[in-house]
Amino acid sequence: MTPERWAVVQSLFERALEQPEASRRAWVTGACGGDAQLETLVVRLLDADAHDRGELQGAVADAVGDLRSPLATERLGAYRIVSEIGKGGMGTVYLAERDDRAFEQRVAIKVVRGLLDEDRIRRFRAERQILATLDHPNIARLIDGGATPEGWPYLVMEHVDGVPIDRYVTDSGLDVTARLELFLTICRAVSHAHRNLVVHRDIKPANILVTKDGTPKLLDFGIAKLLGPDDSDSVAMTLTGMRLLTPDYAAPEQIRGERITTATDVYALGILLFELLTGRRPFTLAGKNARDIEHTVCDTDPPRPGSIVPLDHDLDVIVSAALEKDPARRYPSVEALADDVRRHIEGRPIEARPSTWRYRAGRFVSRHRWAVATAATFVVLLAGFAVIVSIQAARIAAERDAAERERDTAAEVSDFLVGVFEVSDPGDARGNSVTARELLDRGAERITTGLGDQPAVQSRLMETIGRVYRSLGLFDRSRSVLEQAVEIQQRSGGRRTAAGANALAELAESTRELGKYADAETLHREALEIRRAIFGASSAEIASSLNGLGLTLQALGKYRDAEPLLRDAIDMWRRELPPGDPQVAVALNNLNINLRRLGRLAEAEPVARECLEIRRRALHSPHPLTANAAMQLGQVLHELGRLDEAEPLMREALEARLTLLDKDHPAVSVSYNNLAALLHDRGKLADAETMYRESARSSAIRNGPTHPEYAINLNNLASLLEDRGSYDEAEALFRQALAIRQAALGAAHPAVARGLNNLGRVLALRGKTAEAETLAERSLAMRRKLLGERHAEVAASMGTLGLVRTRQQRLADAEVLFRGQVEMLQALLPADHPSIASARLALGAALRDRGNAAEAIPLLRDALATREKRLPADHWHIGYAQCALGAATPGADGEHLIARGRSTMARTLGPGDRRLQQCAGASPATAPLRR
Amino acid sequence: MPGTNPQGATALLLQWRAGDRDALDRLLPIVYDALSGLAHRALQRERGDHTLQTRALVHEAYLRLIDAEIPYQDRAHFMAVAARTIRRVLVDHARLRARHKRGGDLVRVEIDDVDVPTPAPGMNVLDLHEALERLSAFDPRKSEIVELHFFGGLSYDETAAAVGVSAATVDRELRLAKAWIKVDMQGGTA
Repeated sequence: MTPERWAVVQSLFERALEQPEASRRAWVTGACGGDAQLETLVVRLLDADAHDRGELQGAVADAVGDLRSPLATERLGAYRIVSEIGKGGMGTVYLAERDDRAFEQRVAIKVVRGLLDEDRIRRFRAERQILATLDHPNIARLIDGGATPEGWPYLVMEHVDGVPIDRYVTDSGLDVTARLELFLTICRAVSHAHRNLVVHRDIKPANILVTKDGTPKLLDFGIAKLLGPDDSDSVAMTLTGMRLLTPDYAAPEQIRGERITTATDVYALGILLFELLTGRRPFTLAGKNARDIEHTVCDTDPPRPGSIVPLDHDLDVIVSAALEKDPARRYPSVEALADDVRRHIEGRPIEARPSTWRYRAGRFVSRHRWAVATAATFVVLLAGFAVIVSIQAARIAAERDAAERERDTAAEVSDFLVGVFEVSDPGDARGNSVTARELLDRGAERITTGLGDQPAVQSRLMETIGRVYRSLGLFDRSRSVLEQAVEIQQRSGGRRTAAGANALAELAESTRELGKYADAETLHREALEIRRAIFGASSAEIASSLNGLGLTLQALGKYRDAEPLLRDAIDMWRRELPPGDPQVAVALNNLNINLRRLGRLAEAEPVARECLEIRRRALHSPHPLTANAAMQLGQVLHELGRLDEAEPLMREALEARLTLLDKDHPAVSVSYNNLAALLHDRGKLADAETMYRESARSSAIRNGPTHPEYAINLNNLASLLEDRGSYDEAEALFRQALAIRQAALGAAHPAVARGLNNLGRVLALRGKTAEAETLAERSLAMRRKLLGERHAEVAASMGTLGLVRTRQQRLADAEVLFRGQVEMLQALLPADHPSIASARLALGAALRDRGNAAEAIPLLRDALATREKRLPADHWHIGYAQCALGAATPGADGEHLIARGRSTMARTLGPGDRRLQQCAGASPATAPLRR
Repeated sequence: MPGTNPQGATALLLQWRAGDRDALDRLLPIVYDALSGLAHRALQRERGDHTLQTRALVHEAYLRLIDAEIPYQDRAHFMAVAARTIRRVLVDHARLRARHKRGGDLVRVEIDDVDVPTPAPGMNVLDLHEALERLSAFDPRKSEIVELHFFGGLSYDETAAAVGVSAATVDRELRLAKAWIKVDMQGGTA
């Protein structure tokens, strides 16, 4: 048949049908004009048309009908099919016997349904192997497996002759205690499986049969996973009306297609307990569409069992603890749940407490804390084939923290991740220790290539990996993985969703850690906007975004803009979370830092204290967050000049971090830095230098030579070297630090101003007054603009400029500046603050040099007195002040003072230090505290 | 086999609409998987009733795969894909069974599944498939229309929209196509 001929046929056919029926045949003959073949064909076509009995529809319908019966034989392996027991889940179950009658055992054979592919078969085989090893009196054993001739896999299981547990308890009229005992037996079975790293995922009465003698048996163990359409479970529930296999027992995370973990089984057991106690299920889901089901299970609270039947209140508490929406808030294990039930049976107080239980003594947290992964853990997982264990970190995993920041190493591992880590040949894993980093890298790779068709799962996993990378301090890797996660979300249309916002927020955090603050701000704002659109005015997620954005603005130096955001985050978290929740401490910490930056130290102290107290109460020790809080408070106290109180806190923080973290970890480096700064100010210059160098070393490796954080290290080391008199190296490092800051932070930033100030000061000390003047003036102007007219740092710049003027012999101008500095610092800082003493010293020396001894001496005395009070007796600053005073004091007293001063200074600075010569009265230097 | 993530399918569908031909290749397996799963689940509910409307089947597949309202134009396109896929599913399965029946293990004994009536002498889906293949050699449009209407369960209007003709044309086309297929299976078409 050709198209041309066919066109003719068609035309004839259609025109023939227009003819009256009686004359149709004749017409065809005429129209075909002698072409016999053509005529025959058209006639037959017309005939077929006239006798249409819906054959085509029938053929298709039959074919669809044929889809449904996989079992075309009555024998499978050594077994003979006796009868069909039922259809359930993804398979049909048959009763069978061993054909050779060697054992009288009856078995249940379940045949998989659904179309197959290589992947499914392979997975099926692997998991069958695990299940075959589950040996427990209350678990129906998997005996064997195989495949039908058509290729459908089947499983041979112990046949359990019993009734579903819900019917059993009703029919047999068991009392509460007996039901609880039955429940405990089931818990033991589930717990056994969990210990073997298998999650059931489909616990429900239909899967728990109780035999005549009252023995419960758990069925279909892992079968839900075995025969499931795919791994993520997301196919089970979509927003379009597909009914879940077992919606009544599904946990919120199952409905949302998220990670399935042992906590999912805990939830199902909670529902089971509810039903065993009350005879009802907590949620009525029949007839609901998927959207409503999701809302009901994920957003609404179940009724209390005690409101349905008379029950002890403790049972209400136990059930509700098992039914928490957030898996991390449930009982951490089936054992924990069972223990509480046991306690109740024995009349003892239970552990669970509504809402606040999880924060008690940190037990909950420590169960879920996974300190930087040990190779051993992974090897266990690897050796266990396809294992599904998820370790849920508490909220702490979502921690955000500020400049002197925290890296929490809690991590989440999803079941697919672990599957990704699976080694096909267990021989690979033996004897090899795989680092967490390698596994992450491998995992990231495979997720990128292997999950392209499941963007929701893929992006969540990448989010998790991104977070773990970040907590390990690997910010670049973190950011690149998170960028992919965001992109995936975008492509699959989900950017304006909660999950999309999460991905954005994670990316924003890693971007910030990389020092790209402007980008981070944009990302945070976007996530915040999306979250507001979704959650309304107030929610924990919005608080998190406010916190993150506040941190970013802080990093950009916009402290005043950051403050209201951080305060809002605190209030919101206080509102949305239970009392004592450590999440609030996060925002408190950030606010503290912000207030410090704004110079409002007195306000910062109580904030820092509260943060530390909350963490000490809620978290176990040593704990990274508590260490951070201790460091923060230490720094506040340092800035307030209370060096004695500050030191133990900082040491505590450093010790904790050295215990918990790797020595190259950023937090360790930062601790060294801060403690060094403190020691520096206490005059222990040698110790301080060692610590500064250590901090700078690891900072250079980790941050790279262009990161603003490295600039902090350089800056601090430089000022120490300045104090030790090594002006060459100090100048070089100050220049380097300034250059980094200008490149990374832009032209106007408080840290840049600091850099300008420091470099200017050193240059002034070295006599390079022209450049020093420019820098000091710029620093002063910048600080005035960014921080306001009255700020300790503005005063510092004034002091530097005053130093420059002194060097330029413009003593009158110097005096004005020093006066301004003293006056401002007196207004802003506590009376005994070392900075005030330094400023007075500078002013006093200037007055002295102008011949105004009368005014100079009281000032210098004051300065000395303050220093003697606040500092250790051998601090070189004291010596310096002594010299300065001595130079203003006439006669032998003066000389005496100078001698003492020199000797004190010499002890720290060494006898050859030029400042000892200067001590005799020439150019004074102010020695402000490090900023 | 890829999973049946609804969002993945939506994106692919839109890409295909926008002219990305590769998207269709990626879409097909998703639809395939979804539909086969659906077929089994659907049949579970209706034991003994094998005259399942494929239209309902595809409709379910569509709802499942598409998580957002898509303009009619796109849905029609999706239906076309779905129809094609259903055809593949049914044909593959029929071939599988046919292979099994032809040869195999001596030990096995076939039992009839009593719920499926013995096919009336007439058309089975393999024959239909092959006839359609032959038809498409000289009149692809009719073949497509049959596929859409019978395998996909599309209405006349939907079929018309998918193909780009009027409903009346669909009616005409179907009529001749059906006739030709029957004749073809009897042999004697040239």
